[in-house]
Amino acid sequence: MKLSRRKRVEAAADLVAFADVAFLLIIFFILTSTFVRNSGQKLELPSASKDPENVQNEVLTIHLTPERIMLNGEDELAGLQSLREYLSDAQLADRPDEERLVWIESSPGVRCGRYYQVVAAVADAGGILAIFEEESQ
Amino acid sequence: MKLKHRSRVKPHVPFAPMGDIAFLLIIFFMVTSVFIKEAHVDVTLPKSQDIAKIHDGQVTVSMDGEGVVWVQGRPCALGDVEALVSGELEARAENLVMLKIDENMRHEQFSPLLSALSATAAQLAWIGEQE
Repeated sequence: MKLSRRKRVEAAADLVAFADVAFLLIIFFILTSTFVRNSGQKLELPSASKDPENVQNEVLTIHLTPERIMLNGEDELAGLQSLREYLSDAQLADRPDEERLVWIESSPGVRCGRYYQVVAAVADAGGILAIFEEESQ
Repeated sequence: MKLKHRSRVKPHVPFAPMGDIAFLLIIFFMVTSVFIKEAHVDVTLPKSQDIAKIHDGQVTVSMDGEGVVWVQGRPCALGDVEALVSGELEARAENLVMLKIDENMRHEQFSPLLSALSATAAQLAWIGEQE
Protein backbone atom coordinates (compact mmCIF):
# COMPACT_ATOMS: atom_id res chain seq x y z
CA MET A 1 0.00 0.00 0.00
CA LYS A 2 1.28 3.38 -0.79
CA LEU A 3 1.04 5.95 1.94
CA SER A 4 0.53 9.49 0.96
CA ARG A 5 2.99 11.89 2.49
CA ARG A 6 1.63 14.48 4.78
CA LYS A 7 2.38 17.98 3.78
CA ARG A 8 4.81 19.56 6.22
CA VAL A 9 3.81 22.87 7.69
CA GLU A 10 6.84 25.01 8.40
CA ALA A 11 6.88 26.17 12.01
CA ALA A 12 7.49 29.85 12.48
CA ALA A 13 7.73 31.70 15.77
CA ASP A 14 6.65 35.30 15.79
CA LEU A 15 9.83 36.91 17.05
CA VAL A 16 8.50 40.43 16.84
CA ALA A 17 6.07 39.78 19.68
CA PHE A 18 8.85 38.01 21.59
CA ALA A 19 11.09 41.09 21.47
CA ASP A 20 8.15 43.34 22.38
CA VAL A 21 7.45 41.34 25.53
CA ALA A 22 11.14 41.38 26.48
CA PHE A 23 11.39 45.15 26.10
CA LEU A 24 8.18 45.64 28.08
CA LEU A 25 9.75 43.62 30.89
CA ILE A 26 12.87 45.79 30.78
CA ILE A 27 10.79 48.96 30.94
CA PHE A 28 8.83 47.50 33.88
CA PHE A 29 12.06 46.69 35.78
CA ILE A 30 13.55 50.12 35.12
CA LEU A 31 10.41 51.97 36.23
CA THR A 32 9.84 49.92 39.38
CA SER A 33 13.49 49.92 40.52
CA THR A 34 14.64 52.33 43.16
CA PHE A 35 18.36 52.89 43.17
CA VAL A 36 19.68 53.22 46.68
CA ARG A 37 23.11 54.62 47.34
CA ASN A 38 23.88 54.68 51.03
CA SER A 39 25.74 57.49 52.72
CA GLY A 40 27.25 57.38 56.16
CA GLN A 41 30.47 56.90 58.07
CA LYS A 42 32.54 53.79 58.46
CA LEU A 43 33.49 53.58 62.09
CA GLU A 44 36.88 52.49 63.27
CA LEU A 45 36.31 50.79 66.57
CA PRO A 46 39.02 50.04 69.10
CA SER A 47 40.60 46.61 68.98
CA ALA A 48 41.75 44.99 72.23
CA SER A 49 45.19 46.57 71.90
CA LYS A 50 43.63 49.97 71.35
CA ASP A 51 41.06 49.65 74.09
CA PRO A 52 40.98 52.98 75.92
CA GLU A 53 41.29 51.14 79.22
CA ASN A 54 44.56 49.54 78.09
CA VAL A 55 46.06 52.68 76.63
CA GLN A 56 48.42 54.59 78.86
CA ASN A 57 48.25 57.88 76.95
CA GLU A 58 45.58 60.38 77.66
CA VAL A 59 42.54 59.70 75.55
CA LEU A 60 40.53 62.57 74.15
CA THR A 61 37.10 62.41 75.76
CA ILE A 62 34.01 64.06 74.38
CA HIS A 63 31.22 64.39 76.88
CA LEU A 64 27.83 64.77 75.32
CA THR A 65 24.62 65.90 76.97
CA PRO A 66 21.35 66.88 75.28
CA GLU A 67 22.47 70.54 75.39
CA ARG A 68 26.25 70.62 75.66
CA ILE A 69 29.47 69.21 74.23
CA MET A 70 32.50 69.16 76.53
CA LEU A 71 36.09 68.14 75.94
CA ASN A 72 37.93 66.11 78.58
CA GLY A 73 35.19 66.94 81.08
CA GLU A 74 36.18 70.60 81.27
CA ASP A 75 36.18 72.78 78.18
CA GLU A 76 32.73 73.39 76.88
CA LEU A 77 32.54 73.78 73.13
CA ALA A 78 30.28 76.33 71.51
CA GLY A 79 28.79 73.68 69.26
CA LEU A 80 29.39 71.08 66.65
CA GLN A 81 31.36 73.43 64.41
CA SER A 82 33.80 74.12 67.27
CA LEU A 83 34.23 70.37 67.70
CA ARG A 84 34.97 69.98 63.98
CA GLU A 85 37.59 72.75 64.18
CA TYR A 86 39.16 71.22 67.30
CA LEU A 87 39.37 67.78 65.66
CA SER A 88 40.75 69.28 62.47
CA ASP A 89 43.50 71.11 64.44
CA ALA A 90 44.32 67.90 66.33
CA GLN A 91 45.19 66.18 62.99
CA LEU A 92 44.05 62.81 64.27
CA ALA A 93 44.48 61.07 60.93
CA ASP A 94 48.26 61.65 60.99
CA ARG A 95 48.79 60.21 64.45
CA PRO A 96 49.61 56.62 65.44
CA ASP A 97 46.56 54.47 66.25
CA GLU A 98 46.81 54.69 70.05
CA GLU A 99 46.73 58.49 69.82
CA ARG A 100 43.70 58.53 67.54
CA LEU A 101 41.32 57.18 70.17
CA VAL A 102 38.36 59.35 71.01
CA TRP A 103 36.09 58.33 73.83
CA ILE A 104 32.53 59.53 73.54
CA GLU A 105 30.63 59.61 76.80
CA SER A 106 26.99 60.33 76.53
CA SER A 107 24.38 61.21 79.08
CA PRO A 108 21.06 59.38 78.96
CA GLY A 109 18.48 61.24 76.92
CA VAL A 110 20.84 62.22 74.09
CA ARG A 111 19.01 61.60 70.83
CA CYS A 112 20.58 59.47 68.13
CA GLY A 113 20.48 62.40 65.68
CA ARG A 114 22.75 64.49 67.92
CA TYR A 115 24.98 61.56 68.87
CA TYR A 116 25.39 60.65 65.22
CA GLN A 117 26.61 64.14 64.31
CA VAL A 118 29.40 63.88 66.89
CA VAL A 119 30.31 60.33 65.86
CA ALA A 120 30.38 61.33 62.16
CA ALA A 121 32.55 64.39 62.92
CA VAL A 122 35.07 62.25 64.84
CA ALA A 123 35.12 59.50 62.19
CA ASP A 124 35.50 62.08 59.43
CA ALA A 125 38.49 63.60 61.26
CA GLY A 126 40.17 60.18 61.41
CA GLY A 127 39.43 59.30 65.03
CA ILE A 128 39.04 55.76 66.34
CA LEU A 129 35.85 55.69 68.34
CA ALA A 130 35.33 54.23 71.74
CA ILE A 131 31.61 54.77 71.90
CA PHE A 132 30.05 51.94 73.72
CA GLU A 133 30.15 52.99 77.30
CA GLU A 134 27.17 54.64 78.85
CA GLU A 135 27.81 57.10 81.57
CA SER A 136 26.44 55.92 84.89
CA GLN A 137 24.16 58.37 86.56
CA MET B 1 9.97 57.56 -23.16
CA LYS B 2 8.96 54.59 -21.18
CA LEU B 3 10.77 54.20 -17.85
CA LYS B 4 11.60 50.80 -16.60
CA HIS B 5 10.09 49.95 -13.21
CA ARG B 6 12.72 48.94 -10.74
CA SER B 7 11.99 45.76 -8.90
CA ARG B 8 11.38 46.65 -5.24
CA VAL B 9 13.48 44.96 -2.58
CA LYS B 10 11.36 44.29 0.47
CA PRO B 11 13.16 45.58 3.59
CA HIS B 12 13.79 42.89 6.15
CA VAL B 13 14.57 43.70 9.77
CA PRO B 14 15.93 40.72 11.71
CA PHE B 15 14.01 40.66 14.99
CA ALA B 16 15.53 37.54 16.49
CA PRO B 17 18.76 39.24 17.74
CA MET B 18 16.67 42.09 19.19
CA GLY B 19 14.80 39.61 21.38
CA ASP B 20 18.11 38.03 22.40
CA ILE B 21 19.57 41.38 23.41
CA ALA B 22 16.42 42.29 25.34
CA PHE B 23 16.52 39.05 27.32
CA LEU B 24 20.23 39.47 27.99
CA LEU B 25 19.46 42.92 29.40
CA ILE B 26 16.73 41.46 31.63
CA ILE B 27 19.10 38.78 32.91
CA PHE B 28 21.77 41.44 33.56
CA PHE B 29 19.34 43.60 35.57
CA MET B 30 18.10 40.64 37.58
CA VAL B 31 21.58 39.37 38.43
CA THR B 32 22.99 42.76 39.39
CA SER B 33 19.97 43.92 41.40
CA VAL B 34 20.10 43.84 45.16
CA PHE B 35 16.64 43.67 46.61
CA ILE B 36 16.03 45.72 49.73
CA LYS B 37 15.06 43.43 52.56
CA GLU B 38 14.26 46.28 54.90
CA ALA B 39 11.77 48.33 52.91
CA HIS B 40 9.14 47.68 55.58
CA VAL B 41 11.34 48.94 58.44
CA ASP B 42 10.50 52.55 59.22
CA VAL B 43 13.73 54.34 60.16
CA THR B 44 14.25 58.10 59.99
CA LEU B 45 17.97 58.38 59.38
CA PRO B 46 20.06 60.90 61.34
CA LYS B 47 21.59 63.79 59.37
CA SER B 48 25.14 65.07 59.33
CA GLN B 49 27.51 67.18 57.23
CA ASP B 50 30.35 64.73 57.77
CA ILE B 51 29.20 61.77 55.74
CA ALA B 52 30.29 60.25 52.47
CA LYS B 53 29.04 57.67 49.98
CA ILE B 54 29.87 54.19 51.16
CA HIS B 55 29.90 50.78 49.53
CA ASP B 56 26.99 48.59 50.41
CA GLY B 57 27.38 45.65 52.72
CA GLN B 58 24.96 42.77 52.64
CA VAL B 59 24.18 42.62 56.34
CA THR B 60 21.88 45.30 57.71
CA VAL B 61 20.91 45.95 61.30
CA SER B 62 18.25 48.55 62.08
CA MET B 63 16.50 50.06 65.06
CA ASP B 64 13.20 51.67 64.13
CA GLY B 65 11.34 54.54 65.80
CA GLU B 66 9.64 52.11 68.18
CA GLY B 67 12.96 50.72 69.40
CA VAL B 68 12.50 47.38 67.62
CA VAL B 69 15.72 45.82 66.37
CA TRP B 70 15.74 44.27 62.88
CA VAL B 71 18.46 42.02 61.48
CA GLN B 72 18.19 41.46 57.74
CA GLY B 73 14.61 42.70 57.79
CA ARG B 74 13.46 40.35 60.54
CA PRO B 75 12.64 41.56 64.04
CA CYS B 76 14.79 40.09 66.77
CA ALA B 77 15.50 40.44 70.46
CA LEU B 78 18.48 42.52 71.50
CA GLY B 79 20.05 39.50 73.16
CA ASP B 80 20.08 37.60 69.84
CA VAL B 81 21.75 40.34 67.77
CA GLU B 82 25.33 39.23 68.38
CA ALA B 83 24.71 35.59 67.39
CA LEU B 84 22.52 36.48 64.40
CA VAL B 85 24.91 39.07 62.98
CA SER B 86 27.94 36.81 63.51
CA GLY B 87 26.12 34.03 61.65
CA GLU B 88 25.13 36.30 58.76
CA LEU B 89 28.69 37.65 58.43
CA GLU B 90 30.17 34.17 58.48
CA ALA B 91 27.75 32.96 55.82
CA ARG B 92 28.69 35.84 53.54
CA ALA B 93 32.42 35.90 54.35
CA GLU B 94 32.40 39.65 54.95
CA ASN B 95 32.65 41.88 57.99
CA LEU B 96 30.74 45.01 57.07
CA VAL B 97 27.47 45.72 58.85
CA MET B 98 25.19 48.52 57.67
CA LEU B 99 23.71 50.13 60.76
CA LYS B 100 20.56 52.24 60.70
CA ILE B 101 19.18 53.78 63.86
CA ASP B 102 16.17 56.08 64.01
CA GLU B 103 17.27 59.64 64.83
CA ASN B 104 14.76 59.91 67.68
CA MET B 105 16.11 56.98 69.69
CA ARG B 106 17.75 57.92 72.98
CA HIS B 107 21.26 56.88 73.95
CA GLU B 108 20.07 54.45 76.60
CA GLN B 109 17.94 52.73 73.93
CA PHE B 110 20.53 52.33 71.17
CA SER B 111 23.65 51.95 73.34
CA PRO B 112 22.98 48.22 74.03
CA LEU B 113 22.69 47.63 70.28
CA LEU B 114 26.08 49.27 69.68
CA SER B 115 27.57 47.13 72.45
CA ALA B 116 26.15 43.96 70.89
CA LEU B 117 27.54 44.89 67.48
CA SER B 118 30.98 45.77 68.85
CA ALA B 119 31.17 42.25 70.26
CA THR B 120 30.84 40.76 66.75
CA ALA B 121 34.13 42.30 65.50
CA ALA B 122 32.24 43.63 62.50
CA GLN B 123 33.14 46.87 60.83
CA LEU B 124 30.25 49.27 61.20
CA ALA B 125 28.99 51.55 58.48
CA TRP B 126 26.56 53.84 60.26
CA ILE B 127 24.10 55.10 57.68
CA GLY B 128 22.87 58.68 57.73
CA GLU B 129 21.71 61.41 55.41
CA GLN B 130 23.53 64.46 54.13
CA GLU B 131 22.48 67.51 56.12
